[in-house]
Amino acid sequence: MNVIESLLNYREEIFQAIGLTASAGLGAIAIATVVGIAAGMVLTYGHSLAAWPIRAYVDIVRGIPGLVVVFMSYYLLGFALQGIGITLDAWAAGLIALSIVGIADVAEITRGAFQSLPRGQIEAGKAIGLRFRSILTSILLPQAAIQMIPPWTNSATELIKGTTLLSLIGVTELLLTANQLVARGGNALYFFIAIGILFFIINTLIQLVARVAEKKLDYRTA
Amino acid sequence: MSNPILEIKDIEKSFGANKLFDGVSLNVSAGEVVSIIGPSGSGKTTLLRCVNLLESYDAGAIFLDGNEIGYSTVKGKRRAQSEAVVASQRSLTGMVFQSFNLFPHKTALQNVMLGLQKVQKLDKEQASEVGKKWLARVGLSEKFDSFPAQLSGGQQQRVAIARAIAMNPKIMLFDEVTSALDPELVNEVLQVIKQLAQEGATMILVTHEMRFANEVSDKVVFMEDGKIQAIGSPHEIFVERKHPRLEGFLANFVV
Repeated sequence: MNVIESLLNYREEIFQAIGLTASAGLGAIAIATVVGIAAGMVLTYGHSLAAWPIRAYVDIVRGIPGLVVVFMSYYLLGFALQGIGITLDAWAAGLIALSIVGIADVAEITRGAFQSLPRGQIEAGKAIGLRFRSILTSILLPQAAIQMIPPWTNSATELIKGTTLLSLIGVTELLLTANQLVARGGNALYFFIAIGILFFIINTLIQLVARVAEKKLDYRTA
Repeated sequence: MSNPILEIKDIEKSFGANKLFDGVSLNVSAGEVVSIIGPSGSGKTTLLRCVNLLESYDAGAIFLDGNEIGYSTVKGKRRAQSEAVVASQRSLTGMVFQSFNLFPHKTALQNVMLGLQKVQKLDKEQASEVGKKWLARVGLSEKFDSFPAQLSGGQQQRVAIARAIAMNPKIMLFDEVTSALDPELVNEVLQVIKQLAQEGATMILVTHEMRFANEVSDKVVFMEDGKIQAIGSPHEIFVERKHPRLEGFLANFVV
């Protein structure tokens, strides 16, 4: 049995696995990006009462291994939700865990980017009579965004790779699927090379999108 | 004499035990050009920043066109105005910074247009028209679409001047605007300021360009140690040098 044939035999399982990996990974990236940027802005410019809990969140999450967060989400959060009659399936628990990790990363990336902008930018915005909200959206965010893209790409690809952790709570994503197919008599070499290539493709696509965005946003090379 | 456009009344400000302003008062009439000179650390820049509400002060009041700005006193209690009010009051003064502070992600024209669109709510075409007019006035009609990084320091500072004056402020504030420029670029910026002064713009210049201050000012203010030590015509300040400390300070400059 050649490679193609053995993969085709299990195409249903593999497509389902791609779907679970991509949806958990890309979903977490989307949530982490939106919530993380907001959290990072509060961290940088927010009232200390709002910034303090976020600071604590970021520091705690960044100090915990991703796998532990996945288990905590699946078992602790799952248990707590069961108490109020909600069943948390493994995929959802995984998405939540990856989002929790991603949000902390993106918040920190956002803070770093905003803090690196010269103070004079805010003052120049104030001097022409802009409200802080406009200064943030029209002046600071476009400049911060361009600096955020490279570290954001790192975090995003880490989240995609992090989806393999979800195999340990029973999500039949790419890694667990490969394991199962190998256990059912498939060729280990074929399947693991195949999922390696699939991860590589997903992450290359992310990097491609990031590069296009970077080019589009970059005023420095205009 | 006409009512002053800007009235600074007994401003006081301290950093801890360090008194930065000890009762500073200054009036500026419409069309008047006032230069503030003095050694570094004397409070010149901070005073200008107080007028633009970028800096707080502990006591005293600043009136722009008869209205108090930055603070209000209700039942004897002095209160800072809300962010929204402060923002709208700031749009009445135009500030130009030593370090230009252009928005690097926007073209020269977009730099000028931003305030017109967001604060004055002009539509894009109107804002572009006003922006182009002012950029042309500062001699940059060829540079509408250039980004700050593509402009020389002198050109950047002229964009910054256009950005401030396009908002049609009641008073222009220039904070050592030529201090960060290469010597050969200073003149093009001073010429723009001079032209605005001759056209009747009201302005305060914090400057180390004594020759220029002498040339364009109606009134020169000498500050030292957080106090206005002397106010007078350029002749009184630069030639008669009536204040004892003026002699020592001006000895460092060729006027």
